[in-house]
Amino acid sequence: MDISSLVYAFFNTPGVGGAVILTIFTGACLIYVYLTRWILRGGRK
Amino acid sequence: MHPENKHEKLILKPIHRPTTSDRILWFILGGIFLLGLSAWVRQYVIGLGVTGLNRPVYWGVYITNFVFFIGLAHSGTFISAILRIAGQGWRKPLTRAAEAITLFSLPFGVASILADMGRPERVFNIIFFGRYQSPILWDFTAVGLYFLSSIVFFYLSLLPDIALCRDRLTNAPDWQRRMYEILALGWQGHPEQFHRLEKVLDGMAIFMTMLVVTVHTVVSWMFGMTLQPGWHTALIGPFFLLGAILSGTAAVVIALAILRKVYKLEEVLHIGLFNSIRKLLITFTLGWIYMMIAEHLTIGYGNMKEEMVVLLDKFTGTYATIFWSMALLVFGLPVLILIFKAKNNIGWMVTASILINIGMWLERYIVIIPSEVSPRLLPVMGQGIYLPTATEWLITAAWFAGMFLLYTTFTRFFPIIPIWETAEHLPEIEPEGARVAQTAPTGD
Amino acid sequence: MPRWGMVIDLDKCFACQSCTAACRMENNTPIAGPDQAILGRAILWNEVLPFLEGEYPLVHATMIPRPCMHCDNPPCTAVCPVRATYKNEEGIVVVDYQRCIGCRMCTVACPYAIRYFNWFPPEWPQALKQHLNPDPEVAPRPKGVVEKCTFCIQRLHRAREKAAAEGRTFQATDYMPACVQTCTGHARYFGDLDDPNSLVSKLSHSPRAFRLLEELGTEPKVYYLKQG
Repeated sequence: MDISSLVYAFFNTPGVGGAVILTIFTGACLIYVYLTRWILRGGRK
Repeated sequence: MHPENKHEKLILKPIHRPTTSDRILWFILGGIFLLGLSAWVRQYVIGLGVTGLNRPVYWGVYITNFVFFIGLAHSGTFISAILRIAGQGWRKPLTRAAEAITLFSLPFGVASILADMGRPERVFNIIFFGRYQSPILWDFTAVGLYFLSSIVFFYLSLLPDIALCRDRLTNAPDWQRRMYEILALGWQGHPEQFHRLEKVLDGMAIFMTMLVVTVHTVVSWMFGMTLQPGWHTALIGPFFLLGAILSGTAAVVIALAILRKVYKLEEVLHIGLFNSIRKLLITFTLGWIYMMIAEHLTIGYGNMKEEMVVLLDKFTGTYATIFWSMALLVFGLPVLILIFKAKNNIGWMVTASILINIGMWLERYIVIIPSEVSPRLLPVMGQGIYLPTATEWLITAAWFAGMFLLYTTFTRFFPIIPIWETAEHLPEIEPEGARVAQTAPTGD
Repeated sequence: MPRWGMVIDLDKCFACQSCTAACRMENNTPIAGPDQAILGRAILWNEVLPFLEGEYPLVHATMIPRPCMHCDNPPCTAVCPVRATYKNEEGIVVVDYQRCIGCRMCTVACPYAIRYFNWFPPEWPQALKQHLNPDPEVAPRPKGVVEKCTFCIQRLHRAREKAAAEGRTFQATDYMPACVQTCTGHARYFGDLDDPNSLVSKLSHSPRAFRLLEELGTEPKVYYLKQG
């Protein structure tokens, strides 16, 4: 499979875009939850 | 442990049981919102034919509102994130008031899109069948991530103050105290917590700045990626972004002036803040006119047939009144007011800001409608017409009322001035100036 | 795989509108009524547009029948967020009415404005209602979705079925959209543009051939033969 058809498939296949969105949102949520917990842990031994 | 802030009492004062005037205000705003909501339900049942939309004007006031609300949302991030990175300490008292505009206008940007959709119940098709070539997917990603990040950014900087409310406002009703208890996430105000919070906010500020640029550029690409005359220009992205920051910053002035007056916060929201924003506004209106001239001169000088139809329609045709009032409202009047009148004068500042925001709404309208009215096949199709109907105005009014409602309600339950950020002393850590710059996680 | 295309000879077209009428009956496009039509809400998959040049008395009118251009490089399908509209393997741009979310980005992106939105649930006068095309593929579209000319793709499917039932191979000449079949002046030609021997392919290479807004690079598959 050459690279151009992969790129084409990424942009054109229905559902892939949705998966990208979900991945980004989930990733962001995880990072934000982690950061919040990290802040709150501050000063607790 | 809580920060020491000599204005603490003053800032916490607006947080009390809703008064009769509060209830009246909420009732009116809620009423308008419900009225618009029922107009939307009616539109959903009957069909989008109840609007003034048609062929070729497929997008109208709803999309204008979408762009405008997302633009308003740029206020908060500009004030709190960009100025944070730039190390502008004066921003501190107004960060939360600005961010609250972001937080409460974004949902109505999204609601504007929903109101515009022929099949809002199929909105999740964008997840199930989303294809990333479409600018709508880019919008969905950018606006969604921006909203999510704004909530987190806002909430994190609110945390110490929620904890303070939890410990200080012991007279509040039970449910309200429980709310503080839960939302405070057990914040104790340990110096290390403050230190880490600052670090995260610094890091997030960089990420938020990138997002803010992305979001409004991507919004503009909904238009820019098509071949329509007047839209298909590379300038549309930066131009939308600048307009967004201009209208957002102007909205902050309006919000601040109201808060200052109604909640008697003159001491915290002192006139110096307005003078600082005044300089920003002057810069942005000048930037706006620069982009305006750059765009229209390029089109006019090039003199391409289809582009000229749209341009002349704006300059001398159907949309001339709106176009020139927009130029006057966004640039002509505000720049004069801001330079000659607004220094040390909040009344004039607010006047200029209101003019800018009305003008910016008209600008969004004038970018969107004339291009649709004069499609490329104009010589054979004839010019389109578009007159928004009562349904469209009702839903518009409702979304704005909803935004005000959320904002006013918020200010009754949470301090709208960040107590910890404006404090003289945070528990056992140095004031901000002494903080060592560090690379912090950016949040993505 | 054929690449379906159309050629319209403007010398032969006398703007009788029979294509518009045939299209309506074949594809069950709803009747908007005069008050909605004046607002620009009429749904006409095929339309005959007057192109006027000059001013009275030195005026030259060209009538341009305008179906969907079925571009090889369609700007409308690129912007669809859910692939509800796409170009199928035979080059026909179609809409999935069950998936369309009604965002109208495709209608905005189409430089020919050939895409139509259902502002209301579809309606017909009682007399017309009895004569709707029973083919389920052209069942009336619900409100809130976009629809457009499909080169009568249901006819292609029926023609293939018929050829299969009769045990012969499907020929390009078996299939013809309603507007082509009905054209009073025989001004419309339809067929496989990739077949060098087909009439449409030959006509599309005629020195008289041109396409609408060719300069945009959308590569329309509807060719016109210049008047004169």
